[in-house]
Amino acid sequence: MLAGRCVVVRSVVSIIVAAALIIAGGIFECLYLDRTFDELTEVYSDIYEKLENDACTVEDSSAAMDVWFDKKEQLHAFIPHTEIKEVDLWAFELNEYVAQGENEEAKAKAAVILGLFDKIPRSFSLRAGNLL
Amino acid sequence: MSIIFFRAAVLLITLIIVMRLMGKRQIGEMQPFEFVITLLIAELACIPMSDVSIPLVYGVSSVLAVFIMHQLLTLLSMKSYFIRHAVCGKPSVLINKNGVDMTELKRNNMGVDDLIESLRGTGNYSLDSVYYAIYEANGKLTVLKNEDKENKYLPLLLVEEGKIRKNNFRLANLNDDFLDEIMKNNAVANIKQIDVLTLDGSGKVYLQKAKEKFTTFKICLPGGASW
Repeated sequence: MLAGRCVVVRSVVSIIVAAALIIAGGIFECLYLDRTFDELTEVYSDIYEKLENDACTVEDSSAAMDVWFDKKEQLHAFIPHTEIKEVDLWAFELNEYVAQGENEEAKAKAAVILGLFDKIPRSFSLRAGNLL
Repeated sequence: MSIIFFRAAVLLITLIIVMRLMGKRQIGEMQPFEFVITLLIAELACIPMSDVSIPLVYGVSSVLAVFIMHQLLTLLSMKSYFIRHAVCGKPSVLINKNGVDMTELKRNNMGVDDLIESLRGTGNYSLDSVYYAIYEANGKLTVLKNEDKENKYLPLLLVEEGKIRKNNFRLANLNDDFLDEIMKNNAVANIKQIDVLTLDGSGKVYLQKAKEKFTTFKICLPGGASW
């Protein structure tokens, strides 16, 4: 009788602990991704504005890329590495276009990066569209 | 390579912890849902173990999610008889006092051959050597032995649900006259009325007519055949 109760208690505790880990992890993941991608969006929005005003320098785009490299180290834990690689490619291209003075091309790349920054965190949020 | 090693180690430790928390049952003693969960967990852990593009957290969290479902189902099935039956299934009595229950046998997608094979696994070689044979929810066959009946000869299945096993007739060196005589002596008008007919090397016949209690009797084997 006592042993049976112990098993039930152990089961309940393990369910609560595992569920708490998943829920806490899920909430942290959601908040972390939102905050990180908001910061990244801010950085690349500045780049986009500067490109529109023909005021973007290679130092600006390199600095933006450094911010991305810094953030992506932690993002690897939460999002598939293929998505990170995709942003890497666009960021490198943007930097190269800025270095060559091709602002229109660079602007297109920046728009894609901003689109990805908008799409990635939304694809990990708890929504019906993502669940199905 | 070191990344794969690290990921595999983390997932393996997670799996060991989860499997230990799930209990000590062996594969053969698992309930159907536990078996499914074990298969699923192995696959869930395997993919992020070898594919470095998938975050390790995905593997760990999916294993944890399956673990929660397992614990919940276990708890619910402990508390509720209805849920236990729905999730784990219920035992089937395949052999009762009247002999083989063909309805239960079919319900479990088994034939008399499978039943005899499972019986052999329990150390019983003829259908009348057990009072009851129960097909448990975990897939094992348990029997209540009939201690009075000793198994010294191997029975051959000659007729199953009205269908003749010609191969076994040949093995037993029997011809159609044998079956005609059995049918005539036991008031069987049509072979379709026979659910089970076995014959062992001592000449003992086990006959179960449809919806009737089984009977056993001895005959003289043609040519004194014994196997």
